[in-house]
Amino acid sequence: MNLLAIGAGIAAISGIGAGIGIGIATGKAVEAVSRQPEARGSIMQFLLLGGALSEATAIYGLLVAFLIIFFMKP
Amino acid sequence: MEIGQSVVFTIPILGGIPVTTTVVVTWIIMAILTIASLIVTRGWNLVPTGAQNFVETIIDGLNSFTKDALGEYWASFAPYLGTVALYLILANTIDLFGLTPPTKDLSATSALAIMSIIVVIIASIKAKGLKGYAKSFFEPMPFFFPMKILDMFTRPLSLAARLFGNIIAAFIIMGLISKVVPIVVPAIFSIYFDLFDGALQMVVFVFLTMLYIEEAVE
Amino acid sequence: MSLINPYTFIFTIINLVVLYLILRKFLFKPVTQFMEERSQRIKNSLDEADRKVHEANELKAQYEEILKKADDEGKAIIDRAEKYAKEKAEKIIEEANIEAKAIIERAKEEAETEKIKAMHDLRVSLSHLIIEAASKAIGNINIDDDKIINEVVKEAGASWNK
Repeated sequence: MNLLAIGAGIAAISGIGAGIGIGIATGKAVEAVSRQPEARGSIMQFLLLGGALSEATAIYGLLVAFLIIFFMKP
Repeated sequence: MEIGQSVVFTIPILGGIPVTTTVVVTWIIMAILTIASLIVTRGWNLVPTGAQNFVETIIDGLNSFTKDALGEYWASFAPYLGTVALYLILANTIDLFGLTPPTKDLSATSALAIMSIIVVIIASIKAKGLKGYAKSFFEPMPFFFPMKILDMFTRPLSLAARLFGNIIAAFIIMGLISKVVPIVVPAIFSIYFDLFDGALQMVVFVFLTMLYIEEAVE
Repeated sequence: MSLINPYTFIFTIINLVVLYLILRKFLFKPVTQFMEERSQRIKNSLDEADRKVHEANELKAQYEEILKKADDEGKAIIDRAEKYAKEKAEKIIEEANIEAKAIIERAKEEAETEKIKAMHDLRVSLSHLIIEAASKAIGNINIDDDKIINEVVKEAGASWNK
């Protein structure tokens, strides 16, 4: 059980990458909006798309953690 | 805390079909939406007032949104995207009313994702014909074929996993918070986790589906 | 327990298809149709309003033209009348002038004749006076009156007339 918990924790570390990625993307989007406020709509669309795609890695990590906890009972 | 859904009752045919809370809550949402749409579209005036104004704004927004992205094909897909959007916004935020969100179940989210992919395939065939659709697997270069096949699987997987992961994470975090501090604090956090995250995941799901359809009809 | 319950999966797909059909029939189609009809109606009425404004403008232009024409005509008539009146007035004045001249002429003539007559009378009476005086001075000489008078008158008239 202890090892499973450690494994789940390691899987959840994937959230770091997604956090950094979404942070960078959002920062760039804010820069872009301040540079070109009239392009706000399309920038928001791309930000949403990029956020959703980079978030996927964190979600996969979360999924793996769940799988480890709930489906690998010794 | 369980990932799976508890079985509410079993239909006694074909050796017993289990009906889970996901399905029951989906039925509740369907009933709410059907009754609401029947009530809200009754006795409309040329000059919109009250509820009519609200509904018109939403549907007009959906129509112009799909019109911008899909061009001439908007009319065939706007109702589907609208249905998914209305279903998801209720399903994601129904935790506020004490019901289990159906999108907390991977079965429901994968059903949604696979339906979206089927709609994308239908859109592609509608726009390019069966031959054009088959050809699109080998574009822009023939060796893209394995990637396109892989795409067919990763797209629904990421759609389903994203929705499921977000909602169940919010659900679990809300459960943990209300175990630690049972009053006031969960209400504040539920504004973010239930309302904001639920609405955002609805937007992301619909937006990605529309993006895939847009790519398919181009 | 498995992650995906196949029954729930199938149920969800059926539910979504049913929900899609219901919402399309009761919400999206009628609302979209309603809004399209309304926008069509608004467009129609706007078009009609445009057309009416156009028509009104055309009518206005027509009326303006007609008014202008009438104005011009009126001006022409007035001009003509003025000219006519002026001519007539000039003619009348001219005639009046001529008449006045004629009257003056006549008056002058009359005065002349009157003068001549008066002079004649004066001459006659003068000569009578002279003769009387002369006869008184000479004495009672009976002169053939008329002869002498006429001679005197003639001479006097000649000197007078000079």
